[in-house]
Amino acid sequence: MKMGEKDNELALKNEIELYESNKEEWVDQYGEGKFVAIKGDAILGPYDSQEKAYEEGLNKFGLEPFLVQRVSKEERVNHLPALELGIIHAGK
Amino acid sequence: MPVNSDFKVNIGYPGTNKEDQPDQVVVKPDPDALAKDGSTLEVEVHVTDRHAKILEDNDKNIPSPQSGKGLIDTGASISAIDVNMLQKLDISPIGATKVSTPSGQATQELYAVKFSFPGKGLPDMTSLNVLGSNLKKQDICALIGRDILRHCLLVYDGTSGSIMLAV
Repeated sequence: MKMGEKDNELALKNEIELYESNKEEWVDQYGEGKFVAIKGDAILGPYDSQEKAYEEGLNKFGLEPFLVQRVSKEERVNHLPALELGIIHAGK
Repeated sequence: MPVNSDFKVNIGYPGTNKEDQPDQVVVKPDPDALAKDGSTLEVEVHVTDRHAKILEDNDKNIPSPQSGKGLIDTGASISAIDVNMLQKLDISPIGATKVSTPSGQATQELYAVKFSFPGKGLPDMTSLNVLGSNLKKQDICALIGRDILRHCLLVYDGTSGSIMLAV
């Protein structure tokens, strides 16, 4: 499955859980704001930019799903008013 | 600079010589249409150049770009494209983010795509933070959010019914 519509159907569910469970440690280890690329248990990085993490992820993992993640204690929430108002819907 | 005949270029871009002007286009020279439809322009959505190179190196076909109407949405922190496009482009997720929804926050996956703007003289722009959404009912294929607009100058002139988008 390439696209998820609910949290428990996400293709990157395992990678997201791995990041969440190691976030604090990785911030200390890699530095706040660095980027990593995660596929299964494999972790690439740290990198200074999202673009570099994406490129290295493609080199290593190919076109399979992998997670490019900013390592940070801060949790960013994206806002799309059209989505928040229910005008559009994420996923399938 | 190639410009669609329905559009006009704002050559009065302040503070620059004409030859130094950024790529720019003015859309919707119609106040009523702009107020009704919002700032829309034709977009094409492609796999990223890096993605295409991998397909090419493996003798695989590069999916055809998907085209449709894009809505510039300054309220959206990231861009979104219709989920059908993601399927046609056969793109896997490369990120995840929390987004606000009517029922609270949810984790959604992100995709890397390249946007182009045919015939508008604007350069291609790649984003690694694109959400998949159901946009068909809105008669659009993409929301152009602030991840793309952070590289642009956008002027909304409701009085004349024009939008200037410059890169």
